[in-house]
Amino acid sequence: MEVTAITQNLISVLNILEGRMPFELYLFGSVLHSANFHDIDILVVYELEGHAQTIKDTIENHLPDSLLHFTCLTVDEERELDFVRITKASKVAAE
Amino acid sequence: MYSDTWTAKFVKEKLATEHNVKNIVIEKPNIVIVDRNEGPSFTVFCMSLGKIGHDTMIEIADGIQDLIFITNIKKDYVIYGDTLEYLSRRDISFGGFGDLGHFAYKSDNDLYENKNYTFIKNALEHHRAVARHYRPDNNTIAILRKGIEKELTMATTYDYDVSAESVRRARTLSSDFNVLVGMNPYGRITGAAVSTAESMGVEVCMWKEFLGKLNSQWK
Repeated sequence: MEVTAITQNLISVLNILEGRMPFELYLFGSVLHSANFHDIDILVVYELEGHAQTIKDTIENHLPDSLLHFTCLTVDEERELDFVRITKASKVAAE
Repeated sequence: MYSDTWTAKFVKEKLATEHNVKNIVIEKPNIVIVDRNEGPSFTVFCMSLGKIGHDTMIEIADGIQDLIFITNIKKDYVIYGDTLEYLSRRDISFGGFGDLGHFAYKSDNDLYENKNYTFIKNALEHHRAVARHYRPDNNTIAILRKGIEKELTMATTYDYDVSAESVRRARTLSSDFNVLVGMNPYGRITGAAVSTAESMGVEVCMWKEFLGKLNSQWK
């Protein structure tokens, strides 16, 4: 699967869950830099405890045939680790 | 028997780029045959489950001739220790897609052991406080220490950093454990991970710290 197709699927997830819970999605790692990636590294930045699992489940339903590797951080944890900046993660957003 | 429509295709596509892989053929749904450049060919059963039952493994092991490797594509999964031992007794290697890549790179079909587990096992076997250890499941290791009656169970996470969600996921995936150990040498532990672990009555630490604590903590 190409990065653009993965991004489109993630945008669908954003649209489905929009208004139900605040969260952000990012791609990082080899999926951004290599045509020959195995894992799809996805960062989920969420606010409330129960939301992370719902977001992961929804993404898995949209990308069922993929090797997904989730990193789930609360907004505070992301800030604490500076994860987006350090990993040069790319935010998934509708154009 | 377990079946799906995508894991064999996934393995064929992704494994083809690995070193030492000459050719991959999907022989039947979920079954691929891998030819190496150097070394014998091998038959792989491909699957993707979150919880891998003993009966499922028996059915696969009994149902496929000359089976050498079973690979589970889903990253987060649990398989119990007695099932892993059963597969070893049948000379069938088991692992995730990364393990399959390592196996293909070898030039023989000898039984494969997950590299991360080998690393931990070797360290524990050389640790002066450790008397014995075993695997309740693929995510945990139970440790008996010299002179301490109480068993200690460690769960492992290979997340980049150990977060609150890492702790919650370990709780869902693993047998009961006392301490969650972060295995990424560059990883950090967030404050929320520590408080989530505390609320569950477990601890969280990094691997290096864990080895030191084995001498004195969790008595």
